[in-house]
Amino acid sequence: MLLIPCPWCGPRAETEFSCAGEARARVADGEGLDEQAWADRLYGRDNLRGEAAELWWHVHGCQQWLLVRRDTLTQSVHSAVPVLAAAADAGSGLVEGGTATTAARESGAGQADPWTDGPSPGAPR
Amino acid sequence: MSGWRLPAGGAVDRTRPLAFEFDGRAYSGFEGDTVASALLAAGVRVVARSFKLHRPRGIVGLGWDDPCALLQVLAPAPAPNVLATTLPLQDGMRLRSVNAWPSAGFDLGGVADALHALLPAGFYYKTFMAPRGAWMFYEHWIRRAAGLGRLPEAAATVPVQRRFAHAEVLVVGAGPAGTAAALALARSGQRVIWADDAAAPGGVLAGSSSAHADEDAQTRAWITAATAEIDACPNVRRLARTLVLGRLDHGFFYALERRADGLERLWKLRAPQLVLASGALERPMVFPDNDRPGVMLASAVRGYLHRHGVAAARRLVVHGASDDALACALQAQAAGIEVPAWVDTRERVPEALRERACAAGIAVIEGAGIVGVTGRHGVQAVDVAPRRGGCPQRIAADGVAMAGGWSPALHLLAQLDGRLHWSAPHQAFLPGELPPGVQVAGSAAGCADTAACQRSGEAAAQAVLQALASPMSRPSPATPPGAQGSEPLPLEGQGEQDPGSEPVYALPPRAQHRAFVDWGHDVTAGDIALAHREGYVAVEHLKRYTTLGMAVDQGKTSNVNGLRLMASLRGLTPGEVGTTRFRPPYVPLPFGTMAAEDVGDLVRPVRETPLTAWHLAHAAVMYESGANWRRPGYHPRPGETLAQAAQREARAVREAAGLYDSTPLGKFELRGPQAAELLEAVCANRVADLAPGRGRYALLLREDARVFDDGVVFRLGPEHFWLTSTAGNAAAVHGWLEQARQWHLRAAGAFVTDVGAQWATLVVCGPRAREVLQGAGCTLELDAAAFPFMAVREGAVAGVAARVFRVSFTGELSFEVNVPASRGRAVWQALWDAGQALGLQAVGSEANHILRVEKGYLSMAHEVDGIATPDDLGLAWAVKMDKPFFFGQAALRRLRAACPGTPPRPELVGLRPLDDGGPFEEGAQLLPARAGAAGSRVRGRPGPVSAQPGERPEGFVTASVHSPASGHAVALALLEGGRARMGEPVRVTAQVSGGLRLRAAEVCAPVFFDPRGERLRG
Repeated sequence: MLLIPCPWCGPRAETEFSCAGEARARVADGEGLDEQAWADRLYGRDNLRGEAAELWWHVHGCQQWLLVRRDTLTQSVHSAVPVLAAAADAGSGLVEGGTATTAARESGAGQADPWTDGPSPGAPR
Repeated sequence: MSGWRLPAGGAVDRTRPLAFEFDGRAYSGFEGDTVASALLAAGVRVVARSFKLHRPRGIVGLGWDDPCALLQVLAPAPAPNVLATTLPLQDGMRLRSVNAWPSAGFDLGGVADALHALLPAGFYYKTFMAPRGAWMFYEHWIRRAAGLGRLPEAAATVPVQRRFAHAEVLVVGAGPAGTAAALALARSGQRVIWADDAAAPGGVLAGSSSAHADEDAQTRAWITAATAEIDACPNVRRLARTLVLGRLDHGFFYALERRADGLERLWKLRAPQLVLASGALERPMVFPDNDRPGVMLASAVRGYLHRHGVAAARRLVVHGASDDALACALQAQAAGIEVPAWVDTRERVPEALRERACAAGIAVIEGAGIVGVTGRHGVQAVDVAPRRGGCPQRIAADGVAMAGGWSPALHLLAQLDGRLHWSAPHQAFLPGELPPGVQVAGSAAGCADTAACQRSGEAAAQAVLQALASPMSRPSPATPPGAQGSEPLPLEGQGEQDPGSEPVYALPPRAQHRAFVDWGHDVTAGDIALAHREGYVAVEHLKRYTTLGMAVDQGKTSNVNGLRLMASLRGLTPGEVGTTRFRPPYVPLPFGTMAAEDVGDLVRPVRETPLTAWHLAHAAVMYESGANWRRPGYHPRPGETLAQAAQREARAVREAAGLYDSTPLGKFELRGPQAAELLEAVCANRVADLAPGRGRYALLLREDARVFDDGVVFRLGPEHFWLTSTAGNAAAVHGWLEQARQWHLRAAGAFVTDVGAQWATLVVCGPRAREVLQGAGCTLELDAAAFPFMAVREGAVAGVAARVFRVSFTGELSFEVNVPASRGRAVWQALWDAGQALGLQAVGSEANHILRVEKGYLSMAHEVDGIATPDDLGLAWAVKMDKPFFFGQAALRRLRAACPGTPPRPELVGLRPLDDGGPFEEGAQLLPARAGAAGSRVRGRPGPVSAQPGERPEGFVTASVHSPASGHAVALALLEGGRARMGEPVRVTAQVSGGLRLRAAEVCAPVFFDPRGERLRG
């Protein structure tokens, strides 16, 4: 039962969220791609082993969409940033049709991991 | 008779006798007994029959480690497969053995044991294969033989409660180590949850007076005092009788509390730090016929003596490879049991222990093992022979105590991310490198004596406090006690065990098949050797091929012995063989326990609208629709069938007026300067150019251009829009709107609010709809000039402020009246009353279905199947490709560039049957016409239709109804290249018994009534 550290609501159980899978930019252009490349862009996912960037929607809470960096091996959740705020800080910088994983790795360090590092400061009890 | 009750001793209350019944016979025990201890005290030897071979079995263990003693509880709370060793005795309890008929003592299934040579592990992979076709005959008998116990007829009367608790630390176990850790943590002020399976703390020392009587008494006194101090701390929640079942991610645990009054609670706990002081499980010895009733674990013999005052036998032979055996022997003697011999597989037992044994008059037989046990329904004698070979000597006894060493109970560690490593001195798996947030203490960590357990508990507490105090640094895991620079301390009593000694010694092949490793599934040493011979040497293969460790006890007593056997066969250490994956729960649970309070109506709560009560009062037949909504299907008058009622309601809408409840519709209000931009992106149609008060059909596509949802979009103001979605997709559309807004578009200036539950949506439709509204007191001008089609007006209906949309999902003049949900019932009543004189009828989903099929309107569950694109469905008119961007635009562009493909895409068409057979079946396949073939019957089994070589289905029927407006059956279908095939005959499949029939139909336009839409625009 994962805990997602929602920046507004504090660490909440994953059942309050809806997961939309890997963070990907919208598909806006398919010019000049062959069928395989187009299918990859529409349906392909990186499915990374290790740290991955995912989109989670806090549907039973603040209804923010969060960009969550989660390690798919150890399940530790490194950070959860509201996507509207993430854009303001890091600039969208997303490759057309690509995933946000690269962008997420390059953006700054996330919040403290409450499960190895103790309760996150300011998180309500 | 074997077991007997001691005249004094034990923690039972001898002033409170309890009566119970087992297999039809009456017995009695005392308050504080478990069913197992009461049966032992009564001298019952056979309590169960084994799963495969139906061998008689007795009590083996003291608690959750017993693999055999499953009973069926008949009263007071019926339940199957309850472990007798964990079931507290209650007055008037009635119990029965399982897997035995007529009783455990005399079971006809025992014939299986005579066939044991034909039933080794994996026998079912090699049998039941011939003759082909006889499998269903075999299956009938296998099914009857399989399974244990019987489900109770009635559901449990009291559901399990669900409780939640949060803390910084969870301490599992209340033995010396757990108590020491809990005390240190309680004093620190951190929030602690302290869980233990027993009613009172003490762990293995509870009620015990061992050979170290003074030391144990001191420790018990200390535990009692510590518990009193802990109970006074407000920051500690002590959960007694609570078994922690599983450890999941991020410090989540679940545990089952079984209170003394019978109430059960499923606890869901969250604690980032864990102190695991869960103790160790004793291993049995593997020797021929070690499953006879009367052969028990030595710790169980001691436990029954001390906790319940029950002696398990009158003459007890102790067999072990460790010094635990002597402790058991001495305590048994002290209680009055005769101990003729101590059989130890080691060549030399430690001198000090040998002297004590001799002083007590116990014969010490070194370097020997048991080679046979006589007595099928209870031990009568034991055959002992030297390991090197030699004549066996027979010792008369009625019990054997096995002390095969201790395996730390590290399930909670290994269930998630813990590692185990094999320790040769301990001959057990100990914790490896600890993951963050977990400390292991006590005998679970390999500690020897009580003092070491207490020290390790304190050390674990300190490590936890350090981890909590410094959140930013990764804590260094506490070094397991004993690994602090010195050799790990051996387990209690093992002393200088010869690391090379193999407690599980080599057996001659014939004897292997009678030496049981896993009591629960009748897995013998011979089965493990068989698995090795056949190549199933990897530990996960070993487990699944032999079913070792897959029984009810989940291998608590069998896994390590099985691994050690396989390791010796392969010439590896058990650490190199490894363990199988540990998975929660620690013990089997009924599903009802996991469901807790979500039973009955709460399994799948239904959603109701303000009108549900009205519908029920008017004899509506309610359907479960998408998204848990309960909606009326039809309102039958007395004597009417479904078809008659639906036709009547549909006719009423076409001829007079109908009233239906559309509240489950998804409704969203979008506001803000970027609301139009958001809608332009999610809709394939244009939105921004809507005039205030006007709307249009809204089509939402997925990024791969498939239709996702549809509805209507209206502009209510300069920065204010109203969007509807289908009822079943409302949550998904909401998520998609927010994802588009926040992630894809970063539109901070758009706001989406789900107002579905805020508005009751009542639809008045039909030629007389205006009269109904006027009769109900509508303040709006309703004529076509003032209120055109696809417009919205705000006013009042029946005195309630309303937002009225002129939209139609039935093809008739239609007004969708939205009022605050709390007023929905009143407004409905006003409309209903006004409409009675006009012929207004209530309309359900069946009639709605008829009406929309007649008009060729789409339904999410039928035509829109997640594969169809707007072009397929004839919605190209709604798609504006010249918009700068909308989701699905790029994919649709590519699809259009690729058209026409091979085969052509399925397109929405109508079908008219050419016979009188009524509507088609939904999903019926369409085949191209063949001259003279209509009406022919296709032989063979129903399945994919292929009437001729080279023919294939070219489409399917999505919906078909009897149309009241046209007087015959009509259908909508998706047919490859359908729009170019108007007027073409096709064949439609129909299921009949024994095969398929083909009916004839004609392809036509997908609209059967008012094709130009004059009625809804009037």
